[in-house]
Amino acid sequence: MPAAVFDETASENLLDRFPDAAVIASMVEDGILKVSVPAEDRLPMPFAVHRGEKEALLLSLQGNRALLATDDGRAIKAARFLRIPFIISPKMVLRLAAQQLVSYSKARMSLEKLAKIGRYPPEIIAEALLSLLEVRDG
Amino acid sequence: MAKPTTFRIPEDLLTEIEKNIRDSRMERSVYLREVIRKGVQADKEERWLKKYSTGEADIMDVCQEMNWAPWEFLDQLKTRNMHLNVSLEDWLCSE
Repeated sequence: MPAAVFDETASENLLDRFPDAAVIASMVEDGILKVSVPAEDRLPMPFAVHRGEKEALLLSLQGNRALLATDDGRAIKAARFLRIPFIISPKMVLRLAAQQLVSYSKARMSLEKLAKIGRYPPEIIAEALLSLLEVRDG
Repeated sequence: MAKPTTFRIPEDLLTEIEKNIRDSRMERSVYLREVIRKGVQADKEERWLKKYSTGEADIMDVCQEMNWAPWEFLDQLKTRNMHLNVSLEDWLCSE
């Protein structure tokens, strides 16, 4: 996880107000998530992205085009430009279900939450639910 | 320090303003300042969220401008029945 993203999502002043910020902070504390700062600070692309997205893209490039997890359209556009492989949350749920790391019902519930709370567009959730059915039915 | 300004408004809007001032029992200038401030804020939110939905801005650009935490961003989208700016093509290209 880029240091800038940690600052933006789980810095000290956010912990009391947002439970999800505390979850991220505790995952970092437990060593489940690792916070890193990229060595480089210049991205070879013709348009700007915010600090957190920029660090995430740089970390991916430094990690030999490591998989970038993002739900931001602009960061995805940058990843595609830089030929960095990326994954969005509904696809992550689908992959976990395909590898039987989560049950069908848990995956379905997660996709429904991504629609309602995560504000994912309905057409993506519909595709994800169809793909999940295919995973379930083999 | 507050600075004076002058502008023309249509009569029907002026009638509505006068009515609201009587209802709110506020001073005319205090009421107008408050309404303009709310309007400017609402307009700013609308413009930045439009920039987000067209891909001109990312989530953190909007949060920084509006002084929102990223966690508040999704609530703001929900309030306006808006969605993330991730496309079906992004879904297809995602690993």
